[in-house]
Amino acid sequence: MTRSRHALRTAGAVLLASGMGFALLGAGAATAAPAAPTDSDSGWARVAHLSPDTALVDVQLTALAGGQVIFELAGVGYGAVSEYQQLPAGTYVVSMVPNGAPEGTPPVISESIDVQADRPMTVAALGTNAELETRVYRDDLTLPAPGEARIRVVQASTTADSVDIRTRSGVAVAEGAAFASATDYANVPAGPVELQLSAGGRSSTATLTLPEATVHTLFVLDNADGGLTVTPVFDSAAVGAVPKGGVQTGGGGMRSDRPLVGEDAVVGMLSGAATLGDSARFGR
Amino acid sequence: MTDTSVQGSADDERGTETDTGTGTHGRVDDDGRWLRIAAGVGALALAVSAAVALTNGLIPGFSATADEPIDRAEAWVQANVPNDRRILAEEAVAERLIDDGHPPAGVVSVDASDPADAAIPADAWQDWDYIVATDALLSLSEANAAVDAALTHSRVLAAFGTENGRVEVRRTERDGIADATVRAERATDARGRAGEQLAMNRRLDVSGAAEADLSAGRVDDRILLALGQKLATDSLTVADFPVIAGEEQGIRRQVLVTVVNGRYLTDDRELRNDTVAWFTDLPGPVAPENVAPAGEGVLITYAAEAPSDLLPTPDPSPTR
Repeated sequence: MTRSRHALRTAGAVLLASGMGFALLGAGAATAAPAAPTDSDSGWARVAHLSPDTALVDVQLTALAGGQVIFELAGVGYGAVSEYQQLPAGTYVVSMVPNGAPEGTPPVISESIDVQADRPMTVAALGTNAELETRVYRDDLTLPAPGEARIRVVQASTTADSVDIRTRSGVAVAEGAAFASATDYANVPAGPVELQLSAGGRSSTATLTLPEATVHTLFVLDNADGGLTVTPVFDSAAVGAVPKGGVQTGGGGMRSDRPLVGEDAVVGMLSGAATLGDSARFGR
Repeated sequence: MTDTSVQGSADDERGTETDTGTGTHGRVDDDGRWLRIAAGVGALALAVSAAVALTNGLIPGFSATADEPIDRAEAWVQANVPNDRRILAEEAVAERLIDDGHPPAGVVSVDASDPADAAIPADAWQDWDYIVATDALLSLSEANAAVDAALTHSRVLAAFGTENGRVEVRRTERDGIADATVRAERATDARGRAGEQLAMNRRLDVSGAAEADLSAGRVDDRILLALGQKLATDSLTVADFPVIAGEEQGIRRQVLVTVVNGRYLTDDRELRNDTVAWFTDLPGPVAPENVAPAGEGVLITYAAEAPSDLLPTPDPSPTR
């Protein structure tokens, strides 16, 4: 089996961090030409590395009808998210196997997903390495109204039981968000947004600039100081087809012929999760 | 019958000679034979009546033959129901389950003649997980609202016997049978869609019957996912999804794999062992209950209690 490794670059900027161990690692409005998937029988998936102490693991998406896509989370940063990959529509088994595990090692199967046209999704490996699991989140890349941006929260911190996040204007982005949960998307005014975060009696504020007509996921993560980090990830911008305007909609390397099995397995290409500002290492 | 009649006649003749030694044997002989026949017919009638009574469940536990459905249901419960589940059963069956090792606190029996039992709240059924539904228990439902509700809001997992002798092992649905029915229909659809995709996999060879099971949504989610994962690296032949006794109308939770990568498992001991090990070591929700070499290959068996939502169902909401 031929696999290549792509170090996941996590470029971003700490826009504002204050008090109590919270930090906001920013993503912004960088735009890029989206991939041009037009196959109506294809869907999109990407993988997020949200396990603070996991260095090497492969996330596999195996089609029941035949074919497999392997996302190697090796040498990539905590909090990093891959590009969207175009996949043939169908039901896939979601599993993990330690990177470099002996041949024949049974994978950890967590669930299955339906890859559908117009229904992009994020597959996250999250939790501590000892309790590593995968979760699948449906991404809604519907663009917001003019002058607005849309955000949601995925609570992936292993140290906070629940997290509240509000905008300064009072929009509740997350209320009592439990581990591994995802909120619905909320529309907020585009531009600078001050977020008020609280968890377990700790609170903090952070500011993020949200360009107009963009969609973001805010990943709540652990940081090296025992606090929390919010990592915004671009889901979509206002261009193109599904994923609608996907700034990070890769698809490079994805083959559309079936079945994709064995030596034909495709390695997901991981790339920058945040795209605004100076380079910064995420996580630990 | 012919042999018995001839033998009896000879015995009669010998007996007559011994007992009387007179010239009146013939009549005495005839009378004795008819008396014995009458007694035999009477005994037979009694035996038939007793058997009918037993099969009607009037004397539970009396005869192994008459109790065969309950014996099999009891064995099914013992093999498939975890000890921390609560089981509703008629009193005689409840005692047997406790004798089998199920914790007494986990066995509930209702006595129709006990006023306290008659006063059980109707919603008490929501604390019960399983029901061993015998004819005697069904009769309790007429007077006991909790038993009636438990039967109403439950579905059959395994059934043994027919008509009045039928015994069902049922699982209660705490959300109510209406919601459970909708969920079950969706789950069947999801299994069918997944099964059809699996049947399309070029690395899978299945018999016609097995393919029909896949397409009809009769194959357990865990088997579908485990096979799907295995097919990423190996080709397989599935000979059958063998039915477990009592579960003829249920979901197939066994799979018999006979060929891996073109090699018969009966011919390749190492490959058979590797196959057993691969399935045995599957962790998490798709971990089998038992994996063992079978006559033609490797038989993988999953527990009767299955995790829910392993397969995707159509979801109109954009997030989850």
